[in-house]
Amino acid sequence: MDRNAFPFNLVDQSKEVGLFVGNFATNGTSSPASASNKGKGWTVARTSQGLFTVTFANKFLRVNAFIPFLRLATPVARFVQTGLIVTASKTVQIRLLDASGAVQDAAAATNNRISFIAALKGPDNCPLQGVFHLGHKRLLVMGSFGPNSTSSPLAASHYGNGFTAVRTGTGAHRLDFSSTFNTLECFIPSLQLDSATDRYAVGGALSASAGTAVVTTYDISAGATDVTADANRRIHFLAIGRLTGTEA
Amino acid sequence: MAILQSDGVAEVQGYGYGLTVCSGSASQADVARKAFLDCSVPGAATFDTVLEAKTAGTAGNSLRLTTVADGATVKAYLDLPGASINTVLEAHTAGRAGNSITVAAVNDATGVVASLACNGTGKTTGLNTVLEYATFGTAGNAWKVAVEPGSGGGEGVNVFEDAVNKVLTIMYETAVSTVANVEAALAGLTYIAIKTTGTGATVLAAATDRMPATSLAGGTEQQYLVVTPTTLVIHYKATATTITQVEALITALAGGDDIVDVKTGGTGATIWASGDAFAATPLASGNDPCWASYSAPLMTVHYADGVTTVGAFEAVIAALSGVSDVIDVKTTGTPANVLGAPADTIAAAAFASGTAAAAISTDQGVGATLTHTGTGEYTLTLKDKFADLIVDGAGLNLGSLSDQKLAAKAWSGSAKTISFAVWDWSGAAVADPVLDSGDRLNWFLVLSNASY
Repeated sequence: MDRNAFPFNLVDQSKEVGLFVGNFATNGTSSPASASNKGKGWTVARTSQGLFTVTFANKFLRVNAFIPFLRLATPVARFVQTGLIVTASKTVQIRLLDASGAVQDAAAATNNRISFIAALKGPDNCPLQGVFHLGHKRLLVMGSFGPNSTSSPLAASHYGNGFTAVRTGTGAHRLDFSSTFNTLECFIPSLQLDSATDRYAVGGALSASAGTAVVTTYDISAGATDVTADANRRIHFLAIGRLTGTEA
Repeated sequence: MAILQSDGVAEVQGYGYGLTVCSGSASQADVARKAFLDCSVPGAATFDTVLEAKTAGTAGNSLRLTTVADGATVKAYLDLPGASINTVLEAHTAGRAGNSITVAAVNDATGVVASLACNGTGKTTGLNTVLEYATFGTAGNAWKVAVEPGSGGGEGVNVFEDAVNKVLTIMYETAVSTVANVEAALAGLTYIAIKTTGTGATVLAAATDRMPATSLAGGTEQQYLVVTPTTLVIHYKATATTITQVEALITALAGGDDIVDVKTGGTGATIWASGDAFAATPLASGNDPCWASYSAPLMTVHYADGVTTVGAFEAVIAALSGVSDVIDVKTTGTPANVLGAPADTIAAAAFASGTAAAAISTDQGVGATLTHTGTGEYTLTLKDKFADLIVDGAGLNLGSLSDQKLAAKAWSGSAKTISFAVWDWSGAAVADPVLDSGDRLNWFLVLSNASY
């Protein structure tokens, strides 16, 4: 893994997982103008209506976590969803969907942008990827797992370290972190699907003292919904936990 | 690779860029709540609507609701004030809207009959008869008269009234027909009559007694109406206009002008006098089955006993506008329920339970403060200034799932702010989240010290 290519190379103990961050401006029915890109180590193109393909410069073994975010100057019924991840071509799809799950474009505007953070595992296998130290008081945990319909996710579907996921109810999974926290400061989940659907992941109850967080797969038209197993149906997340009660 | 502690969450030294992760979450014990009133609680029997203040906060607790069972379907009306006039008019459409219609009467109509002198410049020389339209009014101004010599074959005088083209044609026999002959031929016509006879013995000549089609002029109405959507002005001619004539004009109103009807006809032959003029006077007593009036802080809703339904009541509330638009329907009742009296009469019932928003607690994460800056909108203000924003992640933690999602809206590096909006799928608009204990708004930003 060529870490020098990572513009934002926050590394774990094994130094084999890189974080990529970036954002780009939507541009109507055209591809984002490359000049609008913020971040390095990737390019992006509009593949079709509402579908953007991010291509990373470096090869990676897998995507431990990929979380896209949508910023819209005028809030409307839109959200972004991770689509197909193809390691061979170093690509990750981002869909821009409306409330019915239909792909939509977004016009070019100063505050119309899509951003993302990706935790990519490099070619060198490492045992402890995915848990990052932010200063000496915080941990950033990024990972993903494959929902398994009404069963708990298989252990093999866990990408990233420091957590396990168990199904606790319809569409609901509890993440058990390997560490407890003084405070669980931030928890943002994201749903990857193989095809465009009006579903996303929403955070639920958090417990810093127990080191747990709940994430539910949510169907806009039907509420909490289980997701059947598929290589490209995964729940991604990032969590930041503070280890001590006082700031430095 | 240096990982540096900062007063943000963490500062990370990337390759060529100083990147800072700023993340955190905030809770709000409660958003502002709207005061509400369950109409069934004050004792109403079938009145199961729940109303709420339009605006959240404690101010809504001052609102009061009174219901009065005096609604009915009644047309507004007016007994015309003129001393000689005993016509009663009513609004064409029933309801309180008719009370906004005013009626006035002005004695300024002249009632002149359109006329035409047949001789003069550009007209005839010998035919000095003056013709006029059969009745007063502007309709006569549309008629024309033409005078032409005939073919000279002993045809005498012939006249033709063309009612379609509104032309009277007079044809005379050159050097034979006299003015008296023409006037004799004009007797008994439908539209045109002789106003003043000419010199009967004058013999009409071919060259000088022609007249191209020439319009009658000067005709004015003896009575007429000027109508707007909310005003009716009766213009009449004192000592000439009759009650029948005015009522006929009002009855003939059509389309958008049909704002009033004759409710009770007066004494038809009575003639309007100069003293019968009156200033704009509103119709009165129009009423609706259900309507609302608002005088802060009291909303009074009038309904018809045994007629008004809960659904109709709620429609009136939904239609409130302007300064009266202070309450909404929080929970609809049973639409078909019919309101009765006194069972559903409410006296100044108070709205309650409106609360101010609890302060947002940015108690997790450092380096930024979140504030509620509008409906469904939150603004994160960073402690430090950054040149650029790379990742603007946001998410809601909800104990009870709802159709809501948090996303970034606008970034301002100079102001050190980024705003977030909560989109409500089911409401199809931004909305404040209903935050329960433990629910949180999360953000995850990656900021750059250098501009891209």
